[in-house]
Amino acid sequence: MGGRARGKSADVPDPALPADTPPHGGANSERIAAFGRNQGGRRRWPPTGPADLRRVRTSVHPFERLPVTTSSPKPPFRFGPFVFGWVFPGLGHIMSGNAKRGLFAMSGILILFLTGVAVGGIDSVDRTEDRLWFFGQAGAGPITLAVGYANDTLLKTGSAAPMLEAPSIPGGPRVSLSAFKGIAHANDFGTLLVFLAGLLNVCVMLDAAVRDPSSDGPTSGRRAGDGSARPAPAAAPAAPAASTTAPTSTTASTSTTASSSGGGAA
Amino acid sequence: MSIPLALETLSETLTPATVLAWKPFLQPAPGVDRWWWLLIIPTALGISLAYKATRSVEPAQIPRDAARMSLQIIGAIAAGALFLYLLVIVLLPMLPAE
Repeated sequence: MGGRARGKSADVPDPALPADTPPHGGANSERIAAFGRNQGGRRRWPPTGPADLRRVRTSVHPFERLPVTTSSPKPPFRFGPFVFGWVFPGLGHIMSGNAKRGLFAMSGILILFLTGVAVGGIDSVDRTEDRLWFFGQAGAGPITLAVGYANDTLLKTGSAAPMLEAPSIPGGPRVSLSAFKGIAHANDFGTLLVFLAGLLNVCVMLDAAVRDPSSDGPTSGRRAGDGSARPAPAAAPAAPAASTTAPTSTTASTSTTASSSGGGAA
Repeated sequence: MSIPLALETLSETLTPATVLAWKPFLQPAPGVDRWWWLLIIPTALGISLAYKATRSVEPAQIPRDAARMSLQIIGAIAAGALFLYLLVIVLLPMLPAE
């Protein structure tokens, strides 16, 4: 982490470093200073001889001289909104304070789900005959299970519509199907649309799990372009304030940052 | 199937008798084999709404973004259909037989 670049501005001289030290990251500055101290207390920059160059190559990684880019911290995964998002589409967002976003997600998923069930009937969800499809459809939550249960209890038992004997192989078992069973395009599109609803609801559940609670307010900062609604990092506005501090305090922060950045610019 | 023929078969399929006899959500919709291509509209709308609900920066932008994405999906599929229609119905018959 570039402590020197963040802890203070480049126009404040660091008394611990020579005046001609290039203005790059704090870890570099510390190592360069250490390099100078290792040469019998003399701080030489730029290095002149071949031995000096070798020392620089081994002590300062070239990539560390590049400008350090800040990466947002990994958002925590919260199981509460994830589970609520499975209970009903969009409920995870609503329970975590992002009600408007959750209602839009709910609308989209329910459009797909209800269109699929309307086109293909409740036979669109069939956990015995379309088992692989059912795994994806189950992402939409208990509404899928309810439709599957209705299919089992209403259609397959013959209580909603008469059972028709299907053509079977001579000598084979007799097969009877419900008169409301979806076939051809109706069953295809019904199954597909409910499947799409399930997969999209998994995406919405994951978004609800990593999205900040109540992050849709009018005052919260966001990263441009991705809509993940992360608050703006607090370090960004703090950097100019740190540049006005005394050189002694910035030296301390530089050394602290350099010591903590041994693992790289994470 | 050309578009006028598709609309004609749609009107033939969705007669008042078939629509009134339909039990929604319990049995399949009548005549889906004739008008299945219209399902692109709710499909595109639902996918766009759910996707933009997770990707739009501001919730107020979601309806507009979803509408734009729906039009893009439908337009792209319509353009693909038009291209294939021209290729199969117009251009390929113009090729010499041998």
